[in-house]
Amino acid sequence: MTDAGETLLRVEGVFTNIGRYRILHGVDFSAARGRVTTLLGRNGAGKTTTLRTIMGLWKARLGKIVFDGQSIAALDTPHIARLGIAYVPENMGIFGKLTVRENMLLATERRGFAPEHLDRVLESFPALKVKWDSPAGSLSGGQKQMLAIGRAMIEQRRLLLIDEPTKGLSPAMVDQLVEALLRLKREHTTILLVEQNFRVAEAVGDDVAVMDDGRIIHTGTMAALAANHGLQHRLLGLSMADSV
Amino acid sequence: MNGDWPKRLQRWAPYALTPLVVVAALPAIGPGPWLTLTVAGLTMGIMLFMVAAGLTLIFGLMDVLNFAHAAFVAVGAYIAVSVLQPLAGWTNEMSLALNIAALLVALVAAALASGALGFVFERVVIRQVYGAPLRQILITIGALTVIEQLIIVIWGPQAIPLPKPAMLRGSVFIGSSSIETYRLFALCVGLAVALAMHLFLTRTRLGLVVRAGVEDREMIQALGYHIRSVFIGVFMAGTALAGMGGMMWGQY
Repeated sequence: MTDAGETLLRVEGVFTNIGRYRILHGVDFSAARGRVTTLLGRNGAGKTTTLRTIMGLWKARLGKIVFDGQSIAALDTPHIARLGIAYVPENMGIFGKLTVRENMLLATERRGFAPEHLDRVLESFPALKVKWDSPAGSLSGGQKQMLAIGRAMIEQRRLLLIDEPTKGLSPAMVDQLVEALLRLKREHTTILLVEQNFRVAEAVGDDVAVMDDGRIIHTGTMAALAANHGLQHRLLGLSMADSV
Repeated sequence: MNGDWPKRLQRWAPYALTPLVVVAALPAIGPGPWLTLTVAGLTMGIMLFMVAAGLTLIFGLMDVLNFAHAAFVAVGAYIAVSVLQPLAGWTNEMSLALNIAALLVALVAAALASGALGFVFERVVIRQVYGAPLRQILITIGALTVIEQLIIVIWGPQAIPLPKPAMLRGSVFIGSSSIETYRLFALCVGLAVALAMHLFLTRTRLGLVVRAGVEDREMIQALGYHIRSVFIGVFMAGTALAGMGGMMWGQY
């Protein structure tokens, strides 16, 4: 990853409507190659809509989305996925009636698993090995989240879009997920992470973009935001003292 | 593991009900009529399965209420008429191989014609009403009427006899029970189709995509699969199965 730091994803002036309602009002930010960019903001700020718009699940009405030099705003979702963008939605998108193995298999680009990729996933999430042939619907919430992230890791992706992976999980499970995200970070995987838990965002993030009311209101480094409690309070309504 | 038993029992109980009723009927009606009726029931069931499997696939994956599904059954039966009439030489021959070959040709033709019609139907009719159940009901009932009338235009309003092939007429006798030969053939074809469908859905990647698509269409697209193409394929497969069921039913 010699190109680490250069822009991989650029979102420029993106407006998105859901039905009659305009949710994004000209979103501008970029994600650098090989770094973890966290998208923060209060509930309803437009973070999930931003990820879904990048993924093509909701179409941008206006604006540009450029991935590795290629405009992707007009592409359909499967085409965007095949460019190497993996999406882990807030609801995890697990196929409950399929086994863990089948869920993983769907994310592979060839007929079977590349052994080194599979080992990497199972090392990060040993619980998946135990449940390998069980229906994914029988997994606990935390195990489902492991599967969702493991599925995104089973191939070498160019960009991971991860939406609130720690939502509703126990502290022990959160620690395990953070460890997996840190592993991805050490491997220089480019990640755009939506996260409400500031401690997780701080632990994993390199860069940060803060959203409010469908707009980006702040961009910078995570370290700078973490060090500035006043800024945290102004942007997010919290400080390190009361973040969970 | 022991804790799983009540759950397993609950899951399998609905499937066990029919075999239990069948077995319970044995002492009541005696082995001869029991075997005759059981084979007849299984044959009708397997033909209905072929028709219903297509309907279920289409509804399950695409959320499309296709009230015109029965039209594809009829098309399959009429295509079989058109194929088997010129093959009368094969069907009247006292050769099991030629008889079965003729039926298999008719079966493939029925599947291809119904599947091709399904492709056109999806493009022209269904595509306009995805996600609109009320419109789906209206437009597919309308399409059912149109296809029915087209069948009358092409094949006429009179019932067309479709005699069974020479070697598949009559019955075989096992003890005191008589089983129609054609029913045995239909049962074998139906089981082969069911097995092929099972293998497709459980052993192939495309089958995996179909099963996943039934659960979450959006996520399967986010994994890079073009669900539209899968929809078209499933619709064609569903209508082809209906056509095969129609062909088998036409001979029944």
